[in-house]
Amino acid sequence: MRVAIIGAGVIGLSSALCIHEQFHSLVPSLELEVYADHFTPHTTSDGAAGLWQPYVRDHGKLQETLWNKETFDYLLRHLHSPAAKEMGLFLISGYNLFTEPVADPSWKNIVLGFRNLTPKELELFPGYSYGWFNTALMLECRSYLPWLTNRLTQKGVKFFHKKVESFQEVSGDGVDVVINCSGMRAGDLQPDPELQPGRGQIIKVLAPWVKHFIITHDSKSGIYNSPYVIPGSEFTVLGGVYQHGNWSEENSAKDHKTIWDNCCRLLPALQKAKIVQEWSGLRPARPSVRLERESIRLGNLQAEVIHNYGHGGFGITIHWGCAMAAARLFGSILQEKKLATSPGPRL
Amino acid sequence: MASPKVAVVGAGVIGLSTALCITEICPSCSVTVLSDQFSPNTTSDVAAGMLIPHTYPDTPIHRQKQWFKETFTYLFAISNSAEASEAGIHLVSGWQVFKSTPKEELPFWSDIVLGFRPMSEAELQKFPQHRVGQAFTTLKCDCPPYLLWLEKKLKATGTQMYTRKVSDLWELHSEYDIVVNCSGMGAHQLVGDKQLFPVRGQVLKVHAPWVKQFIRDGDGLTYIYPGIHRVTLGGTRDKGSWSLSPDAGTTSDIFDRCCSLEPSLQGAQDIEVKVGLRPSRQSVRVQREVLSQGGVKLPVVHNYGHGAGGFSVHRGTANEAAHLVGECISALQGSSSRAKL
Repeated sequence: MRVAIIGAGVIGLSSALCIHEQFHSLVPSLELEVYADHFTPHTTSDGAAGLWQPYVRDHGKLQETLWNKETFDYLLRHLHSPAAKEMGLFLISGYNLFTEPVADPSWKNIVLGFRNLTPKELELFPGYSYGWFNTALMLECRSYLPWLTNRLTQKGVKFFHKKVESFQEVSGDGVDVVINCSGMRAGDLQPDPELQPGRGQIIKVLAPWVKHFIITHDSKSGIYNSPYVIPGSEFTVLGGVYQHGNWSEENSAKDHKTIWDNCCRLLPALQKAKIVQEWSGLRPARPSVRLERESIRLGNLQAEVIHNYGHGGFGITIHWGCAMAAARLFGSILQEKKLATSPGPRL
Repeated sequence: MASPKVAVVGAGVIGLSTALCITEICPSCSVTVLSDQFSPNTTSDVAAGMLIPHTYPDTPIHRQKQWFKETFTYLFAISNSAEASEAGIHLVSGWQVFKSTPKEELPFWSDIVLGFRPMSEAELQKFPQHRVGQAFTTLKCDCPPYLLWLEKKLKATGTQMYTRKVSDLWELHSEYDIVVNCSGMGAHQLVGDKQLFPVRGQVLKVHAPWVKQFIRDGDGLTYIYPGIHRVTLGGTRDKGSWSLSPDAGTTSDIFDRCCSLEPSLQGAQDIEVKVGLRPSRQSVRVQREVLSQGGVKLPVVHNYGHGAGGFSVHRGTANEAAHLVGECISALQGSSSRAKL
C-alpha cells in the first residue's frame, strides 16, 4: 500500500511519522513517500520561533483546542527523554501582555503554572495593564524537522524533492492514499478560497540574556500584529507582523522598523542585541483547520485524499493532535479497504 | 578634610559595589580599590549570582530583608534598561523543590521576588522525588559581566583600581583616611576574624542554552542556574574546607544530581569546573571600627562575611557600609575642627 505525503513541514513529517508508527505493523506492505519542493531549513515551519501557544481566543473551535492539548501532552511526555535535546524541545516560561483585562484562554489548564501577572511584574511592561504568566514548551523546527526526517528515514520512508502539481500526479502513479499537508500552497492542488496567507516577518537576534517569551496583544490590531519576543536555544526571535492576504515573502524595511522599534520599547535591553537574520513567511491561515477525507474521482480511478492544512500561526502548537486525527482517518480508509487486521491503536 | 581618601580592600561584588555606593553617597571622596584579585579571578566570578537569599542566623531578619529588597530593586531597574546585557543582569524564572515539606512555608523574601507561589501538581510531576515546591521569578547577576560593569562605572567616577595584596589594614594608614574592608574570605587573615569560615563550593559551568529555567533543591546542594552564556550546575557546601582544587568525584556527583533534576543536561557541552570559598559567618559584618597605634587613628568600615548570600544582599550592605563611611568622614571632620580650636 503506497501512501504519498505532500509537504515536508511540521505537518507533513509528523503526519507521516504518526501513520507509520500506528500502521506499519498492521499493514506489512505499507510504503510511505514524502513529496515536497522545500525541505528543512526552507519550510514555513522553520521560520516559526517554535513556541507552543494557541491563539488567545478559540472561537468555540473545541476540536482544535483538543488537538492543541494532545500536542502539548505528547511533547511534555518527551521532555525527559534522551531525544528532547535533539528534537529541539525544552520548557520555557513567559508573559502574555494586554492593555485591558481579558478572559482566561482555553489553554490555561494545558500549560503549566498559569496565573495572572502581579502589579510589580506589570511594572516591567509600561503600557500594559494586564497579563498572564505560564510555563510552556518550545519546539524548534530547525531541530525537530531533521529529527522527524531521521526517524522517517530509519523507518524506510522515501523522500522526493519535487513540486507536486496535482493529486493526479501521485495517485495516477499507483499511490493509494494522499495526505495533503501542503500548507500555504494547498490552493495550487485544489482551489480553497478560505486559505489565505497571514504574512509574518521576523528578526533573529543574539540576545542570550532573554530567558522568557513575551507576547503582547492589541485587540485593535489583531493576533501577532503586536510585538513579541521569543528566545530560542541559540537566537531570539523578534516579531509582530500578521498581514492577511499579503503574499509577499520579501522582507519589508517598514516591517523591520516596526518590529525593531516596538520590541526595543518592550525590552530596552534588546537595543544592544546583534541582528543575525531577517525572514518573512506566510502563515497558512484558514477559518478552521481543514482535516478531512475526500474521495477524488480521477478518470476511472478513485483516490483517497486526507487533507491536513490551514494551521495558520499555530502549526507547531497543534501538529501532533492533527497528525493523530489524520492517522485515524487513514485507519478508516484501511478498514474500508479491509487491509488492517484491526482498527489502528489510539495514541 | 576637602577630599577624604578612601581605600576599599577587595574587588569582588562586595568591594566594587561598596566603592560605587561610596562615590554616590560621598561625591567629595577620592576612592581607590585595592585587591590582590580582580574579575575573573574573584570568588564572585565562581558564583552563579542568583538572587535567592541565604539566611544569616545572627542578623535580624528585618535587616536581611531590607538588604535584599534594596538589592532586588536596584538590579530590577538595571534589568529593565538598555544596560542590562552589558551589566549581565537578567530575569529568570524557575522552581525550588523540596523532598520533604520545609519548616517555613513562606521564606522572608517571598514577597520581594516576583510571582512567588506554590508549584502546582502538574509542575511537580516533573520532579517525582520531590513533594512540594515554589515557583518564582528572580534576578541573576552574571559574572564577569556584572563586575566589569561595576569597574567601568567606578572608572567613570575617577576611582582608581590597583592590584595589590594588603597584608595588614594598618599599612594603609599613611596613604588613606578611611579603609573599607571588603576582603571576603581574606578577612580571616587580614583582620584575624576567627568567626569567618570557608564553605567550599564546587560548580560546573556548562553550555546548555536550551535550559531557560532555574531549578534548585531546597536542601541548597543541587541547583541549575541558567546564565547568559553558561548554565551553572551545583554544588557543594563543604564547611571548613579551604581547598580551591576541583575534585573529579565531586564533578561527577554534581553532574548526576543535576541530570536527575533536568535530564536534558546529559547533552550539555564544554564542562568547566570551578571552586570558590563562600566567606561564611553567622552574621554579615557591616560595622565601624577604629584602629589606633601610637596615637594615630585609622577608621575602618567592615563589609564582609556574606557567605552564600553575597549577590542577594550586596547592594543593601554596600549602601549601609557607604553610610558608615559617611559617618567616619563626619567624625574626622568633627575631630579635625576640634583640633583647630
